[in-house]
Parts: sequence; C-alpha cells; structure tokens
Amino acid sequence: MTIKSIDFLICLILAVGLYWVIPDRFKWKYLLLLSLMFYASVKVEYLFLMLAFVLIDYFISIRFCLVKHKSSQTKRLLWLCIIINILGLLAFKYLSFLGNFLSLVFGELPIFIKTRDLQIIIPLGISFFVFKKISYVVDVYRGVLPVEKNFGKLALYFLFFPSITAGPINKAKDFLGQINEPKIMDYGQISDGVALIVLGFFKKVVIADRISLYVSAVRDNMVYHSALTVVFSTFLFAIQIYCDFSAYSDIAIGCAKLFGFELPENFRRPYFAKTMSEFWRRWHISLSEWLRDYIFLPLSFSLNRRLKQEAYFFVKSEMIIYFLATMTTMLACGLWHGPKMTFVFWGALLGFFLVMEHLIRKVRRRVRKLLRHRKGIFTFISVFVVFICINIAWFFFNTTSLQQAFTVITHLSAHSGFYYGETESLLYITLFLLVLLVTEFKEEYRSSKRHFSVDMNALYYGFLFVCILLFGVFDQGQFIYEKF
Amino acid sequence: MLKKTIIVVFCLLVFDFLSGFVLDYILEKQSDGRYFKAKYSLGHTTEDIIIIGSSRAEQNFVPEVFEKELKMSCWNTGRGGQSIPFLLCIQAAILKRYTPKIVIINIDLDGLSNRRSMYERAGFLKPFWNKHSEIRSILSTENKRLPFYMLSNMYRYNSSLYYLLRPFLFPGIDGFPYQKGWKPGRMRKKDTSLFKDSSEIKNSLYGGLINAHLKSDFKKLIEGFTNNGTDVFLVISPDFSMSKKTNDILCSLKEILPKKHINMYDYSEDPNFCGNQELYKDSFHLNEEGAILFSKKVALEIKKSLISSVKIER
Repeated sequence: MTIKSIDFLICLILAVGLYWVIPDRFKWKYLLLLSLMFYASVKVEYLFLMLAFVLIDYFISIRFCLVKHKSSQTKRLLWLCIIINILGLLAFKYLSFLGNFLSLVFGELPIFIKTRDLQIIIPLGISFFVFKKISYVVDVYRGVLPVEKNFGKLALYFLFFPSITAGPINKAKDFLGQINEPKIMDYGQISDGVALIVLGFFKKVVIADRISLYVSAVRDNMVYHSALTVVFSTFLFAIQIYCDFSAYSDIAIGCAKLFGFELPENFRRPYFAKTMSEFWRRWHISLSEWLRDYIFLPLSFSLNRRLKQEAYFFVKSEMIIYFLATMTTMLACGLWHGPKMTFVFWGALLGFFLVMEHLIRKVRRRVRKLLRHRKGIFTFISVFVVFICINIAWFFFNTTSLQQAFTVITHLSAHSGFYYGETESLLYITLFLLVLLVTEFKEEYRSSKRHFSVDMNALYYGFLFVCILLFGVFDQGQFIYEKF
Repeated sequence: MLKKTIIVVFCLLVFDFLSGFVLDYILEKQSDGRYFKAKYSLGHTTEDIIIIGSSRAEQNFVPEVFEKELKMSCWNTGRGGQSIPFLLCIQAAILKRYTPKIVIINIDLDGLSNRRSMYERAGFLKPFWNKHSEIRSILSTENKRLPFYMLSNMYRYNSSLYYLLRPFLFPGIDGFPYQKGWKPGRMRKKDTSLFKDSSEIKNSLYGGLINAHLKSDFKKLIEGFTNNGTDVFLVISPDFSMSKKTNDILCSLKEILPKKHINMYDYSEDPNFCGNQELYKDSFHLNEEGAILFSKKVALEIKKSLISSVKIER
C-alpha cells in the first residue's frame, strides 16, 4: 500500500474517523499501531528490523541519562549509535554501489563482484528513518532534547506513517512534544489537512505524472534527441521533481494534520530563490536543515578549531573551511539520494555552485547596489541564474548514468528538430503549470495577511479535485523520493 | 465548518453526476476523431473486413483499397498506442453483434512486453464503460478496483476531454469518416536523423521478453475470431528499419497459433518498403503513398489466399 493508492485513502478516512472517537490517552498508541500496520503492509520482515534499530537508539539514549553528560563515554556511545545507523543504511542501500566502486578502483576481485551483484530490497524510507534517528540521538547528547523514556512514543516518532516514506525529516523535540499534548478536534486544522492532500494529489497526478510521460520518453532515448529537446526535457524534469516531491510532503503534512499533528513545511517555492543558498532554504527544507545542523556546522566548527592560521597557500582559512564543509555536505547530500554516481555528481555540482556564489558575493552586492533602483530586474536576473544552475544539476540527476550524461552532452549537436510528444500532454502541462505558477506567484509576492475567503478556498480546492479526476494520470508509478 | 464541508462534498457529487450527462452527450455527438472511430468500432460496424491493431494498422491499411480489391466492405479500427487488451475489447464488442468474414490483424511486436502498461493504455475506452458491458472485464483485468472508480463520471472521462473537443476545432485530424478509420500519414519525413537511429531504437523496443500473459491474450484474440469462422490474416507491417529480433518474436508467437483460418504475412524485411524514405511518414509508419501501395500488396495476397482456399474447398 502506498500513500497514493485508493486503499490508503480509504484506510485513512476510516482511521481518522476512529481516531477522533477514542479517548485521548489511547490516541498516540493507536497512531503507533497504524504506523506499524502501514509499514507491515509494505514488508513485514523489515518492520521488525526497523523496530530493532529503534531499540538500539532507545537504549543508547537511555544510557546517556545514566552517564555523566558529554563525557568521553557518552561520546563513544554517540559515535557507536551513529556508526550503527550509517552501517545499516550502507548495508541496505550502498553495498552494491560500494562493490562497483571498489571493483573499478582495485580490479574485479571476486569479493567486489559478489558485493556489486547483491540484490537487496531497500526498506521503505530507510534514508529518512536513519536521519531522524541520528538527529534524535545527537540532540539528546547535546542536551537540546530530553531523552524519551517511552519506547512506544519514540517508535511513533521514527515510524510515523505519513512521513516515513519520504519525509519531512521532522525534529524529535517538535514531534514528541505534540504526542504529549491533548488532542482537540479542530475543523480548521482538518480542513487544512484535506486541502493540502488535494493540492498534493493535484501536483502529483495532474502535473508531475503528466510531465513524466514526456520526460521518461526522452530519457529512454536521450542520445538520439536534439539539444532543444534535451534542454526542454530537463526544464520539465525540474518542474516534475518539484511537483512530485512537494506533493508527497503536502500529502504527508496534510495527513498529519488530520490527526492533529503539525509537520514542518518542506518546500517554500524553491524556484523563486535568488541565490543558491536561498534555494537550499526553500528546497527540501527538512533535509537542508539536517545537513546544516549535523554535518555542515559541526564540520565548520571542527575545521575552524584546527585551522589556526588566517590563510594557507594564499587562500583565506574562512574560504577553505567554507569550501570543505560545503563540498562534504553536498557530496553527502548527493550520496544520500542513492547509490549512483549521477547523484554524487549532482551533489558535487551544487556544492560547486554554492562555493562560487560565496566567492562572488562581493560582486553580487555591488551589482545589487548598482541596480538598487531596478530591484525587479535584479530579482528577475538572480532568480533566472539560480534556476539555470539548478537545471544544469538536474540534468545529471535525471540521467541513468554519468556515461549517458556525457554522451548526451557530446552528441547534442548531432541531432536537430524537436520532440513534441503528445500534444494533449503538452497542452495539459502548459495549462496546469500556469495554474500552479499563478498560485505560487501570489503566495510569494502578495501580502501574507490577505487570505482567500473560506468560499473561495472551497471553490479553488473543488476545482483542483475536478482536475484530478478529469486530467490526472493514475497509472504512473511511485513518488520519485519514495525510492530514496 | 462541518456544514460547509458537507455542502462542498455534495456539490462535488452533483457536479460529477451532471458532468456525466454533458460528457456522454459530447461523446454521442462525435462525428469525427478518435472517439468517433472507437464509438463506431465498438457499436456500429457491419463491415465484412475489419482491420485491427495499433497505429501501424491505423495508418498503413487503407480500407478503400481492400474494398476495391476484395469487393467487400472494410473498416479500420486501428488506434495508436494500443495493443492486445484494446483489440480484445474491439473483438468482444464486434462479436457481440456479428461475425466479420475477414479480420486483418497488424501485429505490433514492440507491444508485447509490458502487460500492465498495455492494459492501462486500453483505458482509452473508459468512456464506453457504461454502454459496452462486454469490455468491462477486459479493462479491469489488471485493476480490480476499476469498477469502483468508474462510479465517478469524471473519472470515466479521465484524459479524454482534449480528444472529445479536438474534432470540433480540427476536423479530420485523425482521418475523415469517409476514410473508414484510416488515418493518412500526411507528413513525409525530411529529418534524416530519426531514420538513421531508428534501428537502434527499434532493437531497444524489442529488447524485452514477450510477456507470457500477453502471449496468451494474443492466442485468445486469434481464437476468438477463428472459432467463429472468421478468416484471420496476421500482418507485420514494414518499418523503415529492420530489427534483428523480429524473427525470434515471430517464432515464439507462431507456436501458439491455431492451424485453421489463419495466414501470416511478414513484410518486416520487404525491400520494396524498408529503407525507402519516400514511402514513410516516420520510422514506423507509412505515408499516404506508402499505405496505398502496402494495402494493395496485402489485399492481393489476401485475394490469392481466398481464391486458393475456395479452390481447395471445391
């Protein structure tokens, strides 16, 4: 059962109905049961595995209470926990990638070939699950979060079914606090939840899945397509992945609202970003914050302590620290997405853009000053440049291998013409992208105090629902980020 | 708030119900376009010769040529992007009403690998769900919840609005009614690059194994006609490029074919067509000129076969 299936929706309606009837003290246990059943419906064996992982974090975090705070013992326990989590992730997701890499570097030794050829089924949402566990145990270690002594509540945080598959990666301190709050049925929150679910489905089945018909047709034979087709397909892929992923987040956040829980916003109109760093404050916000809090900042502080001189080889320490921390973080980000060199390259490219932006920040400030009376033009140029950079990175993300990517680049001038695909699809894509663009433009630039009236909202979401039924593509596969 | 929610849900249900009337009316009024052709193929054919298949059938076979050569009425039910499930629906609807004398099936070898995808594509016929009960079990083969979804009129017309409205704006774009289901390939492709790479594309399309279920569906399709005494002619149209895998796929299919009432004509390596860019609209479909020539060739072969079978009977 996936979050997009009719089975899930029917179960959700029944589950929500029962949830608001049972006494408050049983609600979180009921949610835990639902989450366990949801996970078991995918693969029951992996449910036990995930619970075992939760148990490890539980016991280690309990141990933090019994030992002196931030002592060497707790530090060792912390690293043990992190290593176990990462090893678990590596074992399920990256073993064959590792085998492939090692056999490329060291030759085709039998052990590397065996590792490369392993066919392991990745547990659902393991990447998000592991990141949540690491953030929990680190926050407990840092003293930011009190340890959760109730195993069930901790399991609920890690396995909460709306967000287990593809996030958002919510912080334990936000979620655990909500478990303990009394739940009062708020029709406003529930209707917001329903609205978000409708919006999510609209973005997914009407826009993202429609676009994927074109994008996958081009991807399958990218080498034979013209430069114009490849560029257009990459642009559409940028829209597709945004709609697909933000749709999942909308549905997850909407489902959580139905049960009286608030999950953090995960996307904030990322393609309106004026800088690369701003893009990362708008795109997959929960992941960006996780990377910032648990890789970028600790690494920066650590390097700052070690690099005592002002400059090394004529390069300022500050720049070296920024470069190393950024590239490490972005490489980790790329690798987190999956065991493919294209993802690693995507991460490296985005890291490169961030570093370049940091390098030219003074130039950018000067240009902004020059255009201070033409703020609109400056904003437009900034947004456009960032969008182009992101699309360059998406091109690699969308290819099946680096080899294909570079073959396509070297063969771009070999073909002419343009692949139109189905006229019907292009028409629908254009129409609904306009709807989305107008909505997002209004959200981005209008006053936040002005909202639609309840009737206008009902009309708007009713319109989206009709579009889902009339124009949705229901036969497509899973959400893109479900694979991560 | 609860009251408003109930009102919204009620309005949506009413809108769904009313939209069914409007969309059914538009479907009924179709006098052109792919939904007109589907409507005619399912509910109105009486022709002696029926051509079935995907876009190659739709564009490569000219009914007028068959009528002239074989002195029998002819209708082309071909529909682009479709495969065995769609053909089974057409067969079920036709055989419910009458038995055609001859059925020409254009075999598309690249549509035999992914069963689920082919059944999803047959969803093109969802608007006919209410009127043609014989297609329901076929359409729900891979999706048992489909009957539940089809309670919604808007879902029934999912992804069809554009094609329902298009003929009113662009008549004849899928072929005019007088062309009896044939869709002429009007463009003559001048861009050589697609032709250059078409053999690699073709080999990649034929890369998958034949789906065992589709193979048995194919057998069911053939036997559905032959058991009713219809003469079945299986034709493989010539693409611009040849594929090395055609033979393998054909041998695999030949094993399951019945012995009686069936003939197979393989033009996949016909030198009169393959490689001759002048006769092609694109790598996989003949243009008007190519279609007429090809139809004449097939019609003459069918004529010879019919004559020889009459001689044998005597």
